[in-house]
Amino acid sequence: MMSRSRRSVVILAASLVLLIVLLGGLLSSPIGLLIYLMDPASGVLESSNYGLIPAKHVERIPGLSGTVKIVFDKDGLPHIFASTEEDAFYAVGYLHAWFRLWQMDIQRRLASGTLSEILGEDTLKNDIFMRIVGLRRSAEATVEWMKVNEPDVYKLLEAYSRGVNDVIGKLEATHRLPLMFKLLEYTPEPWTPVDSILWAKYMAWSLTNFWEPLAYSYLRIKLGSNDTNLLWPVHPYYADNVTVMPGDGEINGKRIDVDPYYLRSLDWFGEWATGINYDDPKVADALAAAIEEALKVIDDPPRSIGSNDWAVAPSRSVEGVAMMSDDPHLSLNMPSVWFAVHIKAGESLDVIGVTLPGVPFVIIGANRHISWGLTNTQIGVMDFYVEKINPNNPLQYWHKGAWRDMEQIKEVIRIKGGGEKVIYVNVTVHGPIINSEGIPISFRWTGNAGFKNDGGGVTREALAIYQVNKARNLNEFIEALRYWDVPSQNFMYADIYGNIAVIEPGLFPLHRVELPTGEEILVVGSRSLLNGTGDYDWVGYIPYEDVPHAINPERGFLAAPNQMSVGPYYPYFILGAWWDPGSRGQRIFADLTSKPTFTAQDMMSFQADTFDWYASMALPIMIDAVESEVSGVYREALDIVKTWDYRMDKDEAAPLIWWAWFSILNDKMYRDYLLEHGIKRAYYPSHDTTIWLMRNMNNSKWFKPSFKKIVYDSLIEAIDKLAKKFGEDITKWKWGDVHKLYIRHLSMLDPLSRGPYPEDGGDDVLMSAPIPWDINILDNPRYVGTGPSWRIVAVMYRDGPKIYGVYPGGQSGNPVYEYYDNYIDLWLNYKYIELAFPTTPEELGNTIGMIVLEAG
Amino acid sequence: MKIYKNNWYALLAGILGGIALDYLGLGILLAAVVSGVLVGLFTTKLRYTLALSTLSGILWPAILMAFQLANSMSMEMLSLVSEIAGFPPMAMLGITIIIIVVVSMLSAITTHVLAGLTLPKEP
Repeated sequence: MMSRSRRSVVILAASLVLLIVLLGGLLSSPIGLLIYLMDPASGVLESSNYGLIPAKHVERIPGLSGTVKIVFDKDGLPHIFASTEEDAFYAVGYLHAWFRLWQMDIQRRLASGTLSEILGEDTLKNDIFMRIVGLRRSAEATVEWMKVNEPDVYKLLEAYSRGVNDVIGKLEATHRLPLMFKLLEYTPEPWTPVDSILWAKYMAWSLTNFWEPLAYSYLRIKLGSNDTNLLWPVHPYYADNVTVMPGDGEINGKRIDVDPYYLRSLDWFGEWATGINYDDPKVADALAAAIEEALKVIDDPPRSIGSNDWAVAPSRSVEGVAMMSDDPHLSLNMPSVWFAVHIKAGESLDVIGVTLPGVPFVIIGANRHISWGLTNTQIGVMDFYVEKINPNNPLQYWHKGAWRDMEQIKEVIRIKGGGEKVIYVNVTVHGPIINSEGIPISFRWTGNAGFKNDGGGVTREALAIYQVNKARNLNEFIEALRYWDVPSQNFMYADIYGNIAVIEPGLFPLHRVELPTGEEILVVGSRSLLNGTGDYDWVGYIPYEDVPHAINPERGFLAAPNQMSVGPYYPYFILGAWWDPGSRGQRIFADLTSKPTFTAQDMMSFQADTFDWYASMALPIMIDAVESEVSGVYREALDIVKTWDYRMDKDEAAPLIWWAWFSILNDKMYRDYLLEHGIKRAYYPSHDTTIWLMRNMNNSKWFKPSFKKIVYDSLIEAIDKLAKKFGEDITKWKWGDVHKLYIRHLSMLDPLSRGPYPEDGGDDVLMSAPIPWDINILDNPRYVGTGPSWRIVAVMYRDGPKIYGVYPGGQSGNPVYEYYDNYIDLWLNYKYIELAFPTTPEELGNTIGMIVLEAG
Repeated sequence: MKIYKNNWYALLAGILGGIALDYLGLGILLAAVVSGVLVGLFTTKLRYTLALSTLSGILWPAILMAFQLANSMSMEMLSLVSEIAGFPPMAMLGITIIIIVVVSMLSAITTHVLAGLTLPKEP
């Protein structure tokens, strides 16, 4: 029999071993993660207390110069009352972290290429690409420049960072970090001014990273110049009558001194314009291979993005006041890209609108004097260069008559689980090289080139938007935008004095080009790769005085839904511009000339306008082509679209039929044609081109075997597919059965996302809600994922503006809190919140919570 | 050093120790280990060690969870996480408590036996 002490030793050993094995196993297994998440004191349950609006929270903050009161109105909008701007922006940082901390962190990781640290190898491709782009390098350079040249703005960024970091500390101490930190098992690093500038840079990047010159070069190689220029014209076919700036393009008395229509007709892929001989098969093949490699790194085919903004003068307003409307179309996510706030700092600042979590200033909004909104100008601010490499030294390239050394930057990407990936980014005088295989292609982007065009990456949009927040009149607004470098935007403006304006600030790079006639002109942007040996480098930017702008036009309105900026005689030829072909421009011009005067309600209804201008242009021709040929269910479908008012409303069948019919027609026109030329990716021309071909070249090779037959076949196929999916009873078909919005959480986790919601709108309409023009999505649903990320209408009464706004989401990032998604229903139903704009906390009346930060 | 053994004290120490240490941020597993150590130190016999460490390992996380889940938003958070994990909420809570119990029990046994072997007995 075993002795007592020996038995004890056996028990001791067994229990100890089991304990160690159990603990070791737990720490490295999903069960361990479950235990960590379920920890009642510090796990996910405690995260339900994150991001709440407190009834009253009082805290002493060292470093504040006075008490800051943050009062939450009934809609969850915080109103910050501080005595100094530093205190006010501290409070903005505090609020952003209080409500949106994980969003801020994941965004800076996305921008700086550090996602893999928390997500593993799945995000390595993004990280490698973002390290090549180098936004963090440019953000660091910008902050260093600000410290010296704009110390006052830098101090505000520092104050903002302190606000963020104080909340991080508090959340860590109370185990109330947001859910996603716990699910991903990490904690946030301290926030810095570089992170704020980084996110601003990323937003700029996402709005201007037009890869079209790469894609168009590829198309030129595969399709030849004629077809490429016909299908992807220099300027859109139907846009000249609805330019952002009224008039023919003359500015400050200057006009281009070469016939602009001659310029549009030129082949800008020619060697005279690019330094590249596309007609040499060896060159073309090598370039095609290099572009394919580059596109693999980018993995982001050309796409259309857009936004709407417009303003009406007092002469066109029922109430005799200027009004401004804006709805930027961005990716719609949970939480929203925007956070609404009112910031009052003594007498120097009193501004309301939306901020980007991570950036302290109001990006779109109003103060007591002015209101402003933004849309993208779509003008190309990125060029691609083919670099000639020294055969004896792969780290040297040929530039302006000499071999130059590339700058080589080592980037170490840490990967969750312990690994790391080391890459070397090779940078020429133009910028970083994208591809590691084939002929090196570098790119130069204004956000990296910087306002000095020295490649230093210093840009000043933080200074500009800060000054816009404080501007008291049009002159101060214009002066502030002098510093807006990137992304180039249509700043729509209305003020309480009755002025309206649109200014397109930004760095617009200029090349010098010698035309085939021998004349030399300055050109903005490009449609093609450019030879990197020096002749096609940027020679500067358009002077600020000459950037497109219009003030108080005679017609009494301005509109800038991403359409062509200027008329043909603008003094600089804008070659690389990825303008919206004009459907939204045509429609808003029609709306704004539909009656003599308008109300705020009209502004809102235009934001909800679902009229499809392309459908109105194309359908009569398509119907006419098949009218006499169809019967039965096809006739029934045709009758529905014949009586349609061209509104893409979710409860109607006609938009669904139009979408299916036109999708299949496009596919039949271009798919085989592109495949025959070796193009596998879908670079279909835009709809204005298709309509132009239908109207002007309907016997061309894209309509095989004939225009009538291809339109007829498309209709039959569309109706058959819809009937198979939704049944034979056409009256029961609804656009909203296919066209649904899904507001995906930034983590991509479905339980944190919202939708799908059947939705009005479409790709080419003011109520923007694009889904692919691809009939296959009947079987593999694709949701609308972009659209009006913020709707604002500002009515600029002389005694103080009234601001209406809404975005699809909610102020808090806490998914189990009512303020996580409380604006979605309003947004879906085109309702607005009147943004309270009190001068004192007491004026607010009905409040739901308060944070008091006392100087400590 | 002499340990004044008392099974009631053992149970109380196990529960309070678990709650306090978890609340202070040591993490649930470490709190379970220390809670078990406390039970093991104070129990008089191995069978009480087994029983009381099990009881304590159930009670202290259950008390903390009950307080937490009294808040309806925590309940919603539990449902949400359960949906993300694809696992029923009660199963997640149950597994957690079972693991705590096992860790606590093993730690208690180890401590109890080790103390029996190394520390002088009570008079």
